[in-house]
Amino acid sequence: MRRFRRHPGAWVGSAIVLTLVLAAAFAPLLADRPPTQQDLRARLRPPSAEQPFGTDEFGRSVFSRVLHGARLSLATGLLPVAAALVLGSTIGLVAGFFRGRLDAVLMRAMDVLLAFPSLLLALAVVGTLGPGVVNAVIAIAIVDVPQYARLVRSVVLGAREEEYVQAARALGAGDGRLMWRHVAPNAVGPIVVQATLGIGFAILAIAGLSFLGLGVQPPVSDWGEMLARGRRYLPDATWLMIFPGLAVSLTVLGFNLLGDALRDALDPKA
Amino acid sequence: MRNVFVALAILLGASLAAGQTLTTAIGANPPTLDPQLTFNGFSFHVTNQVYETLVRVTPEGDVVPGLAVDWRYPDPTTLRLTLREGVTFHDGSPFDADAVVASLGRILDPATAAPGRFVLSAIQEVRAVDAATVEIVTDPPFAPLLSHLAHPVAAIVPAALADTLARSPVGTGPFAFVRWVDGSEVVLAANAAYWGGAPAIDQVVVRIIPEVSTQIVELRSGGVDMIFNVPPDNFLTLQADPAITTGAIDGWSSTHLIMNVASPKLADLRVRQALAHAIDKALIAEEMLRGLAKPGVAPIPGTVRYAVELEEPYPYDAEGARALLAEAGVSDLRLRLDLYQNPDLEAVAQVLQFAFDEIGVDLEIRVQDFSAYTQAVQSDDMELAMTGWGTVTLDADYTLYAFFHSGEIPGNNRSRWADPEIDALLQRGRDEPVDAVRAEVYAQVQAAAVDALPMVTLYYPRFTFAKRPAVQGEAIAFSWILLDLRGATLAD
Amino acid sequence: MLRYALGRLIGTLPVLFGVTLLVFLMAWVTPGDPVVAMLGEASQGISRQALEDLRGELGLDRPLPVQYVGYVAGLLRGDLGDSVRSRRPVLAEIRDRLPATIELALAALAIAVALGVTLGVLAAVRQRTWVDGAAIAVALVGVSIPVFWSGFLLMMVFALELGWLPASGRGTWQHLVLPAVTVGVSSAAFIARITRGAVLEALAQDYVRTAKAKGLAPRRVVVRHALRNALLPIVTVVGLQLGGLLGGAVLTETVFAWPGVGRLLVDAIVARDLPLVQGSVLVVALLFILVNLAVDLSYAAINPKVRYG
Repeated sequence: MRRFRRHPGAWVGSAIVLTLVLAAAFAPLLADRPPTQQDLRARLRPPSAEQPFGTDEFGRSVFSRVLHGARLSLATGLLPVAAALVLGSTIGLVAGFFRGRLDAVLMRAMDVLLAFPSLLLALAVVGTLGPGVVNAVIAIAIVDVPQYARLVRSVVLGAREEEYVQAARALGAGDGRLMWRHVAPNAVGPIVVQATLGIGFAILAIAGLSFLGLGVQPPVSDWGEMLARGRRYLPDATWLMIFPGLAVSLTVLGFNLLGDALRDALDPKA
Repeated sequence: MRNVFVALAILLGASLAAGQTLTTAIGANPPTLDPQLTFNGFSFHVTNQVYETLVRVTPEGDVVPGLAVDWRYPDPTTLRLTLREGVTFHDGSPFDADAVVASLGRILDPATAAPGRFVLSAIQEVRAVDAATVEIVTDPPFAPLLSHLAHPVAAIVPAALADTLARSPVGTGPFAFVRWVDGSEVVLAANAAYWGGAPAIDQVVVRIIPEVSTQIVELRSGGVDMIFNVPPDNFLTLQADPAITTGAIDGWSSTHLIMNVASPKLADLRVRQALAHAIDKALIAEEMLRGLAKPGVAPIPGTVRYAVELEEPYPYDAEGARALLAEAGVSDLRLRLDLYQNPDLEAVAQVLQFAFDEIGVDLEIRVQDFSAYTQAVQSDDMELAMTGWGTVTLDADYTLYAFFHSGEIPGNNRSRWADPEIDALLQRGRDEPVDAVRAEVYAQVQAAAVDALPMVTLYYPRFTFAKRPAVQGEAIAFSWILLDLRGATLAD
Repeated sequence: MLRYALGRLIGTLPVLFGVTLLVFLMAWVTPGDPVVAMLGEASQGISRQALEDLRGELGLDRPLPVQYVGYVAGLLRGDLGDSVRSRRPVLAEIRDRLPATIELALAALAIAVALGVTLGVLAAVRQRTWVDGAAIAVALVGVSIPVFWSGFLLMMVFALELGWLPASGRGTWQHLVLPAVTVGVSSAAFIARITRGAVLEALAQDYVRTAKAKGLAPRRVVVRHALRNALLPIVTVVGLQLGGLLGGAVLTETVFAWPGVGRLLVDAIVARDLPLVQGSVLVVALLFILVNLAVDLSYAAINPKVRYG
């Protein structure tokens, strides 16, 4: 933990993520008006004292929309990671602990998923289920599952040979108890690192799908969707691209810095 | 050093030999270059340079000779066309009555599974009278037939090459196909043997550039000479740019909010009137679309034959709208609006969402791909739908029959408005090829449709384009797919 | 070596089977009617009977297991079906687009490796100084910025403002620069990290210490010994990075109108052209498997230590 605290990336990353969470939580208080409020007579106004981020093609406040976009981006970043983490870890735990044929089948299935480049697999899922934010979240979750499964399995394979696990087994501890009490805790560190970096990837990927028109659909809006619409007003209304783009980049950078610092702190070699 | 000069000379020679190249940009790769196998504007933009139809429609809306030079009706069910003589396809094969019979026969053959077959499905028979005369039989009579023959799907193709046209098109048009680099560009070269004289432009390159903003960057930096369907905000910026020439033309398009009158939520006329009153069409046309659309009333724009000018019976009036809803005893109205992926429609849908919110109506917007959208609007629980529409034949029948004939429920008549009198009027408009009769019939249908309010016609978008001033002499009528480059030149 | 290669090849077979099965199964779960999708707005004017006829013609009315057998049999013959929209063979559509994507991926890879290795070596040599921090920060910023944003920024600056490079399309090497930089920068971070780790490890090894003790200049030590040792892990990473590159290419192709498979796939998804979606996904996945296999084998050839299993 001390190493983590000494890491400059840890500080910057934490600050960014904390700001993001606060922005998401207090968006309605910080913004002067709702993100959906239109004013067609004040369209595409550049940033000013009144509208710090300018207005979009409906005369809506870009500032308010970027703030409120933090909520959706956080949600669409966290959800697939949480789902993949639970599912992948379970698969990895089961495969690593029981080994044998079950292990082989599960890991071959993971290999199949890993055979696709991640964004391509996400596109294939969305191409199959159809566009939309729910399907996009499902897609990213599926993409992430094998990473956790492999990670957890390798930790479990190492841990189950450890003396204290052997000892617990000799003392008559059941499989389930062994897995959760003695083996699983070993996987927590690597998983936290993976998940932190995973949130960054998920936010980036969902924004990418939204950018292609396959993620979040119009009445709802995230930063990716804002960028997708904003690009239509280039090269004139640059503020429509700059602020949501900065928001995505900073957010993803925050999670990447945090994950990176965690990895350094947990990895004695670096 | 000498090598450099040789290289320069070769380069110079090559550029001289290449002559004038006009580069246009379109937003997507055409799915095919066989006009009979598609209903896609990106395809038509290219196929209309390579192939030709029997007749053409002028910017004034008149039907003029194309591959046919003259025509008349010997009887109401038979159209006899005299063909242009001495015309050949780009591969040298002759264009004659047999070619017309084979070409129209191919699109009408169900085995071809032509998406645009419905445009010509009124045709019973096509027969060659002699080498330069064909007769087209429709029974019952079909008054708008000539307009339909001008449709891009009715282009005359060499049927013998049916299997290869999709990738290497061969037509009679001013430009012949050179190559198609998939997803990148289509290259065409002037047809020196064109019956109307070889075009001044030697080469046309149609580049495929999906992003509008990229298209604009290319136009400004000289990579592209001409772009089409410029979004209003970008259009205004380009208009202010002295290095760019812009144009906005009244088109054949209209944008509609369709209301399912069979839905329990929308059966009450007062509810539909309330929704109509909630929409500030002028605000949408002037502010959202920057004056590049006209507020609509009649279901067809003024460019279409037999369109009528109508007074707006439902001006913007939020107060009145709320009163109408109260009068109808409706509160907490929640409606779903279906539309397909299209940035312009999606934007207007969001404006409607906010406008309906002002009168206490909650609008859910459901954007889907085209096939899912089509299924959704054909199912009985459809409530509202928004669609862009083009009266491609420029004849009122094309749109009014599709929108309002009860036989078109739910395929095209998504409002499910069924009225035997309207059906009778629409049939009469098809049966009697007499201008005065048709004008009267379609005026009645349009007025009735505005009263009964199965749909709100939101606006008629204007067709926009932007070009480098060097491009001169091109003709565009109604839509980018009808771009006519036969008289075009490049000044520099 | 031969045994290892053979084993590795056989190990790929179940994955290949799984991939084809998964791709075929896409047809099971997909909503919407591909026939209506093909006709687009024209489906409005067509009769139900005509729709059914067309469905039969496309083989979409057969039971799914029969369709699967047909699908696999077709795959073995190199037949991926026909695109619903263009009616061309899917393989032909993909073959037309694949060179562009490979060109972009290779150029981006070159940039990613050059940038990643430079940053990684810098960071390792100046470990725990501001240079280390800055190098890693630059790499992290690169991976955090969405390519569909940085691409537009680059285009605005270098094509529109400065006019140095073409804004879009494919043709000369100038066309390649902006998209390749966009994708390459986004992939450099991982390579930088691996390089830094590998160089650090190599620097800590005895023979490098010896070389230092012998009085060789530190820079030459790094170049001669450490980097050569660090090459192996870098080569491995490159194979894995190709997945990220291909993903970045999908988005970048849209921004720069680059006529590759990524753009084809996105268009196919929007048009619900299922055979084309399946085909593009399958081909790219196969390519990815092949590259990783090749990387594995070359890795084994260079370093005998990995031939354990």
